[in-house]
Amino acid sequence: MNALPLTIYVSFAGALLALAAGARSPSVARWVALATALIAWAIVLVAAAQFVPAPGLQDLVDLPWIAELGIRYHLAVDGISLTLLVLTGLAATAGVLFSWDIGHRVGEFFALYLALIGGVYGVFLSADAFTFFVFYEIAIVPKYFLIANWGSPATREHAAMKLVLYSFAGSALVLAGLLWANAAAVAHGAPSSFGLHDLAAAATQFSRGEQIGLFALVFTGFAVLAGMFPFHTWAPTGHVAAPTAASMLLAGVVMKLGAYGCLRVALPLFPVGLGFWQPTMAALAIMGIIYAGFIALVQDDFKFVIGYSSVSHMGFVLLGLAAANATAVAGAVLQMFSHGVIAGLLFAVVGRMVYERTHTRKLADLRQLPLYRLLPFAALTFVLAGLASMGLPGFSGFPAELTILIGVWKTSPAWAVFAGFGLLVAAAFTLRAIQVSFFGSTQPAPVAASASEPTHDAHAQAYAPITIAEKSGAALLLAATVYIGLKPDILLDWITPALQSPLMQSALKGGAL
Amino acid sequence: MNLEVVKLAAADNQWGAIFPELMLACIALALLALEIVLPKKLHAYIPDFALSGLVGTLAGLLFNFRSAALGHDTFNGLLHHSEAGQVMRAFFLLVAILVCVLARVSLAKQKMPRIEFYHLVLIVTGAMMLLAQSNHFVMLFVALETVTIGFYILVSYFRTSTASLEAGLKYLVMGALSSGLLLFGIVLLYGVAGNPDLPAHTASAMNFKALAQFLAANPHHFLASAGIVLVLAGVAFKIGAFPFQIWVPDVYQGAPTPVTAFLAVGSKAAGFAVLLILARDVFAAYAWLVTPVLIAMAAATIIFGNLAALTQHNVKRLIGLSGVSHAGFLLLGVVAAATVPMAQGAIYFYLFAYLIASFAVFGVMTHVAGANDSDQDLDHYAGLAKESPFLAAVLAIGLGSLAGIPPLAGFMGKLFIFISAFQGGARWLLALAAAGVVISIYYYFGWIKAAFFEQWMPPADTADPRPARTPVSFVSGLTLGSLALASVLLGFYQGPLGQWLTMK
Repeated sequence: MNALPLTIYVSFAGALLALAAGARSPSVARWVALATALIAWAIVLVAAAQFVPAPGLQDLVDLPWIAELGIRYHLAVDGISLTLLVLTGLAATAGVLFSWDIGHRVGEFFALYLALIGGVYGVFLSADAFTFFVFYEIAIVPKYFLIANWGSPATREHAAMKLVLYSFAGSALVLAGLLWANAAAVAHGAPSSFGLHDLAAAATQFSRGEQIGLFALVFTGFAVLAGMFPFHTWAPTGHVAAPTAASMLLAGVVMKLGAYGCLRVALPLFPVGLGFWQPTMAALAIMGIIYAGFIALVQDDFKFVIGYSSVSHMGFVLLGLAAANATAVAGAVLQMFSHGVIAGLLFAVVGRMVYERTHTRKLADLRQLPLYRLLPFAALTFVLAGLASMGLPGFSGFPAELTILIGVWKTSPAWAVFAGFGLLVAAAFTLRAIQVSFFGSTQPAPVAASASEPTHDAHAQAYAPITIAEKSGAALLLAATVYIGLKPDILLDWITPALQSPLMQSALKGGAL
Repeated sequence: MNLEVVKLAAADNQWGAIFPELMLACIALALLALEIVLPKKLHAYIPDFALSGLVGTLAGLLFNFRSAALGHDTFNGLLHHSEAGQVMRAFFLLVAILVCVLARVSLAKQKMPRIEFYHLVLIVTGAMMLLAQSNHFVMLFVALETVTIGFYILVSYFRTSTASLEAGLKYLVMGALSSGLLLFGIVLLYGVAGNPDLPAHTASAMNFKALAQFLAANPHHFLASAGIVLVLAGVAFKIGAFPFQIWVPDVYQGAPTPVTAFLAVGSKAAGFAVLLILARDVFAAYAWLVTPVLIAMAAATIIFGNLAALTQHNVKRLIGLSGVSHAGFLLLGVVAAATVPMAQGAIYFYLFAYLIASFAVFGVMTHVAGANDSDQDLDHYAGLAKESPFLAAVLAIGLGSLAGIPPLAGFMGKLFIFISAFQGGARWLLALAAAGVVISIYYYFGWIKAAFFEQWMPPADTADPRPARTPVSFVSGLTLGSLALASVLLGFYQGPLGQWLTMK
């Protein structure tokens, strides 16, 4: 338990080591990165084994940071953060495996990658809004460089800058909201503090107008990173331009930071604001689910399909938060985990297994290739991930989305109906992607229209086999989605007590329409 | 005036209270004397003498930080010694030390007389230190003019470079205009405050305390308002606030890089020290006028600085315009300082964070620049990380701190300013400032990206048009390294600097 803060320090130390090692030998840098990711994950898993679910945050570290302003370096953990810590360790490890054959400036790549991971661990462990914010920003900066330097050349500069400007705009809103909350708390006679508990206690004194304004600022700021419609446009471009491991982290973990911020900061601190904005949030979430789903349905770029599907699936998380009852929120946390795993898997197949071999992401080109024969492992993985993504029973997507829908139904059946329609759209675009990409060609491989498509055919013979690293990464993620699909209780047993904490209860009460 | 009156007036001439300034003046004169006396081959050590003199003065000042004169007026009310004044003195000494370190790198590439440069830097620094403690408009004006005239020479110091000469002329014309405005404002205030028909009129209207009392008794006098606005305009020139920022890009580009740094950090901080004294204490009764003027200025400065910096390709212009936006953030703090006690400390913290980050960046610039000092393009930075990882790392930390990326010092500075502005109630201005920060990310990241991730393709047919990078010497390496380290450490631990936040 008490070793959890080490995940942050280990990741940053690993980043420095990888940077130093990369200058001499790329392969050492790779192993350093893998070891770091594994050690951090092991720390999380050991802590998870010892974890005793309880309502409320369990303190890990609590030190004064800027005493004059009551800012503290305060780390704590509860069932919700533990779920996401496990996800981070999993995604980080798989991401290293899928970036094993990055050949260009390996040390720097893994240094930035691990710095990002360290920031993510920090966010999930923070119990002070200021500490939270600092780690949140630390996680944003490396993303820019990962995409701008290792992304796909055509769009990377634009996509990286767009992503970072959206992220910083979001965090500027969050910072403005936090400072406002702090100033308002001081104005109401509370001592200056950024502790979540202190701010929540002070916020009960705030006027309705203040609560509404503050919620709008903080929630919107975080929701930008969670890919909320209409602030989602950074996500598909960013995902598409990013190198595979960065896409996996971006969709798998970084978008969760936004949703986690909404859940951890915006909802409990400003329950009155939540009550006011609830219908708007739900409407935007449903718009996101359906709109992004329809866009994914007509994309010609394989990676864009996955990028928009991420926005659509994150819409479910936001809808669960908007419904704000215990079932829906538990479902939302479960969905964060589930989507983190599945999105990682999908991006791994598209960006690494397929693109690195075929050098095209155009569905029109891919359908000329009998990919299911050429890359059977990739096809199998993608089909399984697609099924999980559609929410079929047996995979983690199923309990997650089902729990959300049940919870949402309790708040408003109409929302659930719209969201249910979103599930159909998700099934449609996923099936289309599977069909067109892997099973588009009906001809057997050797004969594959050699007259019309000689280049692809020439490549087709030379596809490198799927590497061990790729296989183990995929197996790791697949095992996680199946395991949680069959036994969601493991996570729910952590999440449900966490929702009984006073902070979360005040949020849920505020959200009771 | 008989002898007794002079004696009486001279009674509180505590020369010991301005010992650091006297030291600087003596060292400055000694530099010139040494140049005449010493044989030519020893001239190379004269800058070291200047540098060690500055370090010694700074050490002495810090050792005697709680001087006996604190809280008192000296020199017949010309100077007021306060804790804030001590902080600013240390600030300017630190700036001068760093300027001298940069100058050693930069001047080595030019065929110029060296010694006069250090002489001028010392004189200007002394004047800035007096400026930050002035308690009288005569003192203020004389010190300000000493600073400005010193800068006229420094800006056009590379006299064979047309860009430097042009910059000097622009600075001269604009500086003269601003001095004119300032003087006109002072005269108006003096005239109004001396009017025997008005309550609390005073014969010593140049004295800040007497003037403040007069203004408090006449809170809505038209001529006084006009005087105040003119004085603020004069100061706004020094800090490069909108609409008086017009000289900034050209002068920053043309001036030798160490002088650009001196202007960007020293001159700006001097302006803010004066502005704080004026806005907070002297013009307190006219807050109804000063606050809206400063708010409008802050808003326009933040918007202009950030938008104008977006399109710059010359790094000196870029950092100049980004400096304009930093002036806007600091103005935000000055606005808050009228009502929030913490704001003053926040401004000092911001200034120190800005100093540390700026000099890190300027230090890298002097190493990347060639003989043509005004020609420094973003392209010159492509591939810097490969050729000199140390310089690239310092640059990244400096720019990151300027951009306000947590947990670097610049972020903490912005945070403190924002918190005080929030407590001061300037909420919409804060929204604007936050937008400004987001915009600034674009150009700061562009620069970092050039240094780390862009490849340089030299044109095949001609020689490499980029200047060769200067190798990093021990002293400049140590300086740059400590600046970068300080930017990181100050973000995590503010120490005594954090305690200023509670300083009254």
